[in-house]
Amino acid sequence: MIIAIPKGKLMEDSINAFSIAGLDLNIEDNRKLLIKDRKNDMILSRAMDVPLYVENYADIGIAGTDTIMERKCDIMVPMKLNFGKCRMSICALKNYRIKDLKGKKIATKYPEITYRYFKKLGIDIEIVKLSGSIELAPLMGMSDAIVDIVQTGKTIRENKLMEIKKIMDVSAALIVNRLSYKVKYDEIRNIIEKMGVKEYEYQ
Amino acid sequence: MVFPDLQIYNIIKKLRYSFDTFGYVEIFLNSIERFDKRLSDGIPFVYNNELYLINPDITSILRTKNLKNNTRIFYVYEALNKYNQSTLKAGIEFVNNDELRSNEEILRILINTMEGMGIYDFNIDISLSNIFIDRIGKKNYERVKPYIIDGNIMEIQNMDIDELSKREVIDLINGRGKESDITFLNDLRKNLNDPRIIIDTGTVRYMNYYDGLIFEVYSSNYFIGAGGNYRIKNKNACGFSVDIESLAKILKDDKK
Repeated sequence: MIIAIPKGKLMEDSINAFSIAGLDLNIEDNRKLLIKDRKNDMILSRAMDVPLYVENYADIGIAGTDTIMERKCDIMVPMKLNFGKCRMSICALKNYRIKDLKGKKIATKYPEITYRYFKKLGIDIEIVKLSGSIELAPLMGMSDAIVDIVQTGKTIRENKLMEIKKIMDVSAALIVNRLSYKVKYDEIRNIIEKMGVKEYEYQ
Repeated sequence: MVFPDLQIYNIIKKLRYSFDTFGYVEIFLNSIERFDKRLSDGIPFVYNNELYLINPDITSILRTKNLKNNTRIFYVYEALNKYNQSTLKAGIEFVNNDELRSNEEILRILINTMEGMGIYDFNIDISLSNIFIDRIGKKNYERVKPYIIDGNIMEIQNMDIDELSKREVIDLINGRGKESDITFLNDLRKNLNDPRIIIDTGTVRYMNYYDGLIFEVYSSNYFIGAGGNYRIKNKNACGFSVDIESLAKILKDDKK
């Protein structure tokens, strides 16, 4: 099996989830990006890129539902997992009504999700694509609002922002390469079933 | 990429030879089509206040043409999708009102063509386009479709649709390689008598014009192509297309 593991916050829980499914991933040195053991190859990737690796190379992986939606990769998402839980929200310095954001600048590292969300509402906005510290953008006058991940809301409050509207709930999810699902069907179904026995929740 | 790419050239030569041997005639379509809502894919552009598409999906173009019964055609074609990605494809189409016969012929040619290229390690998953709608109705299908595509059985189990429909959907998703109660697929598989043909009722990715048989062909490392049954102005037709670059990769891997 070729398994893609997200580096960062989701890494430890992802390794545990695979361990529950009977895949003991021996990752001693997480500076290595490709680790091979007797049974499996493991790719340690930036969380945002895991869906891309699973679409093109890996058999299976774990990624946040935010990155899955943003990347729009052609992969299967057979199960949401009970960790990495947070929400994606629109936040701003003022308590805007959504329709008041028409023509405004929205800073985000999720341009695709943001575009689709506002398009569905028929509201034209201007997207400012940033890679991190999104909360800075309204403070610096670079944007009127942001679309970003909110966990406890502490960072938002500390930067004097208000959470205006939740766009989606986010959690980790198991993702599977479409071809691998066919050619390694029994193995992958077995992993899904074992992970599924563990407690899980739905959005 | 090497110019000229002799491997691609040789693959196309073999495909042309194979399709020609089965009595199929090569067609050459315009790269630009005036927009029609029956057309799929292609890159849209506006010229003189008219909307056009560059290289839309070829089967969707054929569906707008008048083709006689027993027409056998093939093509080599650069397909473009709306993301501006280009794929070199070759495919065949057979217009014939005997659905089972035309489906059998198309699958036989596909198998024969793969073997003619020296590719034996492949599978063809077959299913029916309307299988979920027939079992649970269109309304329920539209609701569960995203989860069927994801293979997310747990989400389906949690939905507020009747238990019988849930069971039907889950059985179909898990139906890969199992005994099927679908006579048409069983007959097709029996007539073709090839262990590489697998009934996979969980197959749901297909062009929206397919009506009846749908199939995907793949090796252990690459998706090769797909096809299915459809209608051309009240006539039955069936066809497939293969991705030439996938064939090249398989043949390259085999050489190593």
